[in-house]
Amino acid sequence: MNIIDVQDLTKIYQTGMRKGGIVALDGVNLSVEHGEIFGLLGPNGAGKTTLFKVLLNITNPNSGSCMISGLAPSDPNSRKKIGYLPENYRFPNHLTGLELLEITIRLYGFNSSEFTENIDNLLELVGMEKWKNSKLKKYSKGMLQRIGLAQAMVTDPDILFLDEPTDGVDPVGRMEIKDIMKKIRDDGKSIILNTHLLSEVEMVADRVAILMNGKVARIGSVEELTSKTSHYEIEADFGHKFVEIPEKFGKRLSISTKSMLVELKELEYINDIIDLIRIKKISIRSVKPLKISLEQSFIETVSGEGTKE
Amino acid sequence: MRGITRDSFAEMIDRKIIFIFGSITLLVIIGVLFTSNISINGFGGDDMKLDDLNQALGNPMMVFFSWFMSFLVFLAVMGTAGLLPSMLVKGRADYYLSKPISRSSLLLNKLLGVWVSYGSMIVVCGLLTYSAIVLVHGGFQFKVVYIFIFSLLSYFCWLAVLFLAGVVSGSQPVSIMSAFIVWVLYKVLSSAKMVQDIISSQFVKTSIDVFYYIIPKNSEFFDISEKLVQGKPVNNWSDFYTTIIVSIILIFGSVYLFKKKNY
Repeated sequence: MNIIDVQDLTKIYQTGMRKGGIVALDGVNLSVEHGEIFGLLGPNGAGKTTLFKVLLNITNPNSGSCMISGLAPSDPNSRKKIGYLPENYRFPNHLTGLELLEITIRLYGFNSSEFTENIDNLLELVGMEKWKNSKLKKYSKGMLQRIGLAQAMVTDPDILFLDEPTDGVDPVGRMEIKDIMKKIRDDGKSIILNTHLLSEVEMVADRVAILMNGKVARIGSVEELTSKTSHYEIEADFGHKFVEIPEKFGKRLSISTKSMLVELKELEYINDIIDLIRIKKISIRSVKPLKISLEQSFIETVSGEGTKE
Repeated sequence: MRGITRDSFAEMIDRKIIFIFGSITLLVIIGVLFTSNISINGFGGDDMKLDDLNQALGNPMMVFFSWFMSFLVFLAVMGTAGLLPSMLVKGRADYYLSKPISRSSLLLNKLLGVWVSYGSMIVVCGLLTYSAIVLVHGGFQFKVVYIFIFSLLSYFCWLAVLFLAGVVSGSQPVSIMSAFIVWVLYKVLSSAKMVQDIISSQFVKTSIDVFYYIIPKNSEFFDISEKLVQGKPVNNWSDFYTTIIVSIILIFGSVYLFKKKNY
């Protein structure tokens, strides 16, 4: 079941009195399923934060539609089960950490007394119980990030929008936040994650969309995005036997006594290459598509080498 | 009110405005205590007391109290002019707008939250000052409640102006300036209205009339409350009604624009 459905979403920011403007989202289509961690990647200005803002009714789209749990963002009830940690947040710094959580609960229309236990647990989870009575203006960037995460989770939402959640957090804190995200997913909740730290997304996300110039350049599971389908590694007992790869199938990138790396012109040619190896009576141990890191996949997509899937 | 009043109270205390109000009120109370021994020469003999002057001038302490309340409203207007723009800065607007509360509710709750928080402070400072006046000079009048009511209404109308300016500009300085501009326009139009009879052009006369009734005339509220307290008749209620109506229109305008804006 999809909890988020985005259809042909376009957002153009007007710049002064001139006609036209900056196209932040250009016909974006995507969906997020219930219970998945969805990573949103893209270079600066790709439209990631704008997509968050449109989904949360912070900014209005020019055209297209989006639904959250079947409700339009203009309906305040669509945000009833959403927690949001904004990028470049500026929480009301006249409040203490505890007051921020209590007022957040009130803004959701609940009584803070109903969530006392949740507040205590969350403050402990994000390591802020010691600082709960200090004003936010005295917090460091990492502490603000932690209390920001707590305010996003304080009403036990079903969907979390996290915009750069580990920004400014030390490595230990980053690991803790990753663990929190995994725990949230294990509880059957969804996370829409926007971050520049691709290793983070690779570790926790189920599916990923790469945005570029306001468009979805690639979308798929982490597995799909990190497998380079034209490159295959064939593990076999080549020894010193020579296997010629005809040019029409592709080319051999490297070979050793135990493995060979090939780049195919078409995916189906892998069977022909396997046949060629088998004719030479070489026993094959495995044939697998070459894996690349999400970072490599991202860079290839951004630099124009990737394709929309 | 969805925690927004509490948020506004916390903000008011954090901005130390409460101390400014407290200090000014304390100074005024001290001043009032000193007035108990004032003798004024030249009025009905060498030994005329302030109480006698009350009779002669129509309760100057009440006039002073009304002026003091208008000063408290002025301070509150200056103190709250930047509140809405600061709530709608990038990053903080995201926090409020991402919550399951409609934009109209958010804005109206903020308006009421600020009015209740700062209004309470005006009332508390006013009560302390009036208590000091009554303690020193006696003559408690229940009608003083008019001054409190009209002060709060005046502050509410100022907030309507500030909120519209805040929504439209998103800038603290513009918001503060808007209050000054409204006040100056009101003074200019009042003067123009006084000399209206000697203006020959009907178009100019009508324009002055239209603008005069559109512009909020919050300062008139204190004149009305003074007259009510002193038991004098209020000949012209139109300034009061038009200001209230215009303020309500300004609030609707703010809500309409706030719903359309992108943050």
